[in-house]
Amino acid sequence: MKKSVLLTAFIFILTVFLPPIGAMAGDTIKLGVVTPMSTGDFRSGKINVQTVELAVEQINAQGGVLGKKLEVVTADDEGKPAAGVIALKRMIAKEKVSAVVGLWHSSVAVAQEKVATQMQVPMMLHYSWTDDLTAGHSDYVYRVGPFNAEIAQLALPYIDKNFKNIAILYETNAFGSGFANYLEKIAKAKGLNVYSIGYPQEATDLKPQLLQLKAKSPKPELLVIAAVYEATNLIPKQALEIGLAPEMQILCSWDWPTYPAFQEILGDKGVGVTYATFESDKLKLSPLGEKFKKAYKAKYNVVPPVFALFLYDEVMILAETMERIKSSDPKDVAAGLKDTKFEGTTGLITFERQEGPGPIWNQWMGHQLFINKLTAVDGKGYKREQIYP
Amino acid sequence: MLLELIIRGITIGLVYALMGVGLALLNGVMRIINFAHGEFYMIGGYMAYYASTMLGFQFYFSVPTAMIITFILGAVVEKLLLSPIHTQEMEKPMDYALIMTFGLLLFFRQLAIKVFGPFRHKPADYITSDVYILGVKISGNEVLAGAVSAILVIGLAIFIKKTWRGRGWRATTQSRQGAKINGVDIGKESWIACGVACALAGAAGALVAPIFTLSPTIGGSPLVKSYEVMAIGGLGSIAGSLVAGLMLGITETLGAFYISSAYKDAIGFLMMGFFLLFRPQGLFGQK
Amino acid sequence: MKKNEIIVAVTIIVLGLIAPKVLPSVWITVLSMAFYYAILTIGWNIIFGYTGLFSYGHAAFPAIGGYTSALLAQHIGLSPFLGLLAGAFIAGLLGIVIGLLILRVHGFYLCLVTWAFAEVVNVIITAEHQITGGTGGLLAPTFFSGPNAELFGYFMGLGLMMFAFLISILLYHSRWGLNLFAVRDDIDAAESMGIKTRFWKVFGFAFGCSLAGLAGAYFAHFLGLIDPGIGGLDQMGYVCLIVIIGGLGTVYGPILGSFFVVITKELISGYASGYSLLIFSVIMILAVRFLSGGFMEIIQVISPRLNNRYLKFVNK
Repeated sequence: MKKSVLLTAFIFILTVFLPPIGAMAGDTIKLGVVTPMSTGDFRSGKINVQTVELAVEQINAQGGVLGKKLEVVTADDEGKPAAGVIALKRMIAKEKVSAVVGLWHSSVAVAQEKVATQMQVPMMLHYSWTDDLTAGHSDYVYRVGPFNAEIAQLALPYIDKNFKNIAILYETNAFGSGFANYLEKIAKAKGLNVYSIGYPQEATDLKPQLLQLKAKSPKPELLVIAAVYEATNLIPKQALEIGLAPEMQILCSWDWPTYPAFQEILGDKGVGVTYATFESDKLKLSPLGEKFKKAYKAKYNVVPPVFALFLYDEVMILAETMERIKSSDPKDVAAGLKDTKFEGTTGLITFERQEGPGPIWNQWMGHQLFINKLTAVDGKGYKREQIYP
Repeated sequence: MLLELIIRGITIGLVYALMGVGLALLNGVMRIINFAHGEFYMIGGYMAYYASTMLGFQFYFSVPTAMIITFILGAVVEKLLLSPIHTQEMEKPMDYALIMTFGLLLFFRQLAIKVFGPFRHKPADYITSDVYILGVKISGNEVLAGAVSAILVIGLAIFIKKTWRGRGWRATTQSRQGAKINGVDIGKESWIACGVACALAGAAGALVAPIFTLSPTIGGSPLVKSYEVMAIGGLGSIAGSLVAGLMLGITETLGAFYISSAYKDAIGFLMMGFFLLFRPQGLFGQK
Repeated sequence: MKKNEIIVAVTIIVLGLIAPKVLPSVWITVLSMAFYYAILTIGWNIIFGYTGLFSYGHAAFPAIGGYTSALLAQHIGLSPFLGLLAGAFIAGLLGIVIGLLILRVHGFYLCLVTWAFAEVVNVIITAEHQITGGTGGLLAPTFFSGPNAELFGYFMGLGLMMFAFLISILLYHSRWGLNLFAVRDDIDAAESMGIKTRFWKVFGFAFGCSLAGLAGAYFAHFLGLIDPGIGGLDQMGYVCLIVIIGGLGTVYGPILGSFFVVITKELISGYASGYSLLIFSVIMILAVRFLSGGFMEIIQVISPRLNNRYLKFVNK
C-alpha cells in the first residue's frame, strides 16, 4: 500500500518535469510578461496579463509580426525584488524573449532594470513610477507611463489651491517613498504644512498611523495616500471609521477607486473620495484606444483601467518597431524603440531624452493628470466628476 | 486621546484573545507548532463572506456557518495529516508538524488565490450603525467582534472547567501519559480539539472580515498575534489568553501612538520574548 | 576526514565546474541559489542537527549578514569580499548574544523565542527604511562586473559552499563536534562528564549563525540586491524542509536537500507558472506524510540495494 503511494507520487513528479514536446521550435517571437501573480499587487498583475494577451491576440489575427506569430510568456515576480530578478533572468535566458513588459512594482523594477540592461533586453514600463528607473539612462529601459516627479508636479497646483495643511501616508518602498519625498519637498517650498508618515507595505491595520494624524494640530485637511499594496482600500475605510474623514478630504494617488473591490469595501461611504488619474471623460481616446476599450470590455466584461491603455500601447509599439526594423533581436529592438512615433491610445507617443542627470530618458511626456471625485453610488460603480483641471 | 486609544485597544485585544485561545488549546493537547492556524482564520472569513453574499445570511447565521465549516476542515486535516504524531511513535513530532503545517499554509494560501480570486472582498457590514462608547466613535462591527469574542472565550473556559471532555483536555495538557492511563482517547480528543481550535480561528476570521476585509494572504498577521497571546498568557491557559489578548491590544495601540507606529509589530514580539525568557509559565501560571 | 567525504567533495567540485559549460545559462542563477541555501542550511544543521537547539529564527541571520555587508559597501565602500567576512562576523556576534539569552529556555519555548527575534529583526529592517531601503530592498555591488560577472559569482558560491561543507565535516569528526553531540543527546550526562554544556550550546548556535551571515552576504552581492523577504517566515520553512528532506544531522543532508528543493522548484515553475507553489506545497505535504525518512526513503522504495550502498558509504 505504502509502496504504491510512493510510486504514484514519484511518477507524478516525473510527469511534471518532463519537457513538453514541440516547445523548442523557434517559429514564434516571444514577448515576456513579468508581473506579480501570486503575492504583491497581483490584482493589477492579472489585468496586465489579460491586456497583453488581448493585444497579442489582435496582432496575431492580423498576421502576426514579420510573418511569425507572437507568443506571450508569463512569469511571476511575487512583488518581491529578489524573486523578480530571478524570474526575469530565467525568462531572458530560457525563453529568449524579444522584450519584456508588464513590470509593475517600482522596487521590483528597480532591481530588474539592472538585469535587463546587463542582459541587453529592452524592458518597457507602463505604470512603475519611480524616477530612478529612467534616471539610470539605460538604453534598454523605456517608459510609456508617468513618473513620480511628473505626477507630483502635475498634482501640486490642485493641492496648493485648495488646502493649507496636508498629510501624506506612504508605503516605504521605491514608489511610495519616492513620491512622498518629492511631493513633501515641493509642497513645503510652496509654504504648505506637510505631515508625512510611512508604513510597511504589508500592513493592513493603519489605525495607529491615522490616530497620530488625528491628534495633529492644525488638523490636516487633505490626506494623500501613496500606496499600491494591501492597504490601498483599507486606509480610506479606517480613516472613516475613526472619524478622521470625511472632514478631511482623501486623495488617492492613482485610480484604484475604480477597481470593483473599492466599492465592495467602502460602499456608499466611498462617496466623496478623490483620486488622481490619467483617465477622464474629457480625455479623448484615439480610434485605437476606443477599439481596445471595446475589445477588452467584450472579452473580460470590465472597463480597462488606464494603465491597461499604456500597456496595450507598449505591445503595439513593440510590434510596430519589429516590423519597422525587420528584426526581433532584443538588441535591435532596443535601438529601434528610440525612433518610435506611434499614434497610441491616448496620443502620439515618442520617447524623449534629456541630457544631464534626471529621470527624462526614453520617457514619454504626454500625460495629462486629472483629479476625479466620487459623487454618488451608481449600481456596480460610482458616478464620478472631474474636479481638476 | 488616551481614552480613545484604550477603548480601541480593548476591542482589538478581545479579537486577539479569540485567535490565541484556539491555539493555546491546540498546543496544550497536541504540543506542536501549527503554522496553518492563520489560514483557518482566512477560510472562516471567506466562508462568512460567501454565506452572507450568496445565501443572504445575517451575521448570526453566517458566523456559525463559518465555524462549522472550519471545524470540519480542521478535524479532517488532523485525521489525515497530523494524526501520525500520536499513532506512530515519531522521533521528532515537532519537526513533522512544522513542515506539515508549513506545507498546509502554502497550500491553503495558493488554493485561496485560485478559488477565491486575488481581489479583496468584504461581507456586508454586520451592524451598520456606529456606537459611541464614552464619546469615542466605534463602528458597530468592532463592538460585535469584541463582544462575541469575549462570549466565545468565556464559553470555552466554562466548557473546559465543567465538562468531562474539557477535563480530559486539561489532563492531556499536563501529561499525555497520565491522561492516556486514565482513559482519555488521545486520538479522538486530538481531532476534536483541533476542530474546535480551527473553529475558533474561523470565528475570529468571520467576525473581523468586515473590519479588515478579506484577501488570500490575510492569515499571516493573526498567526503571529495568536502565538504572542499564547506565549504571554501561558501554554494552555484560557483565562491567561483572555488577559494576554487585552494586554497586547492595549499595549500595541498605546505603543504605536506614543512610541512609533513603524515598530507596532515589534511590541508584541518583544513582549513574547520577554515572557518566554523570564516568565515561561505565562501570566497566571505557577512555576 | 574520511576517504568517502573526500570523494564526495571532489565530485561536487568537478560537477560544479562542468555545470556552466553544459547547462543552459539560466541554471547558473538557479544553482547559485542552491549554493546559498546549502550554506544557510549547513549553518542550521550545526545548530539543530549537531547541537540540538531548534532555532526558528535562522532566517534572520542571512538578513543581518546581507544588510551588514551591503550597508558597509554603500557607506564606506567596503569590497564585497571583505563584506562576506563582515557579514559572518556580525551575524556570529549577534548569535553569541542570542545564544546566551536562550540558555534559559528549551524545546518549544526556544523555538518561539528565536522566532520572535527573527520577526523583530524584520520589523527593524522595514521600519528603518531611510537606512535599509524598506521593503524595496537595498542595492549592493556585485562581486564582479562585466559580461561574465554572474559566472564568476557562481564559482564564488561554489567555493563558499565547499568551504562551509568542509568546515561542517571537520567539525563532525573533531572533539568539538563530539562535545556538541553530547549536549544534544544527553545534556545531564555531558555535564557530569565535565563538558561545559553552556559554552558549547552558545558555540554551536553562534557558529551556525555566522555561516548564515556568510550566506546572506553572498546572496546580497550575487544578486546585487537584498530585500526583507530573505528573512521571512517562508524562508525559515524552506530551511527546515531542506534539512529534513536531506537528512537531519548528517554532513551531506543540507547539500542534498538544497539541490533537491531548489531544482524541483525551478523545474516546476517552468511548466506551470502561477501553479508552481500550489504543486510544490502538495508534493511537500505528501512527502512529509508518507516519506518520514526524507529523501532516502524514496531511494529505499525504488531500489533497496542502492539505499543500503548509500548508507554503507555514509557510515564507513
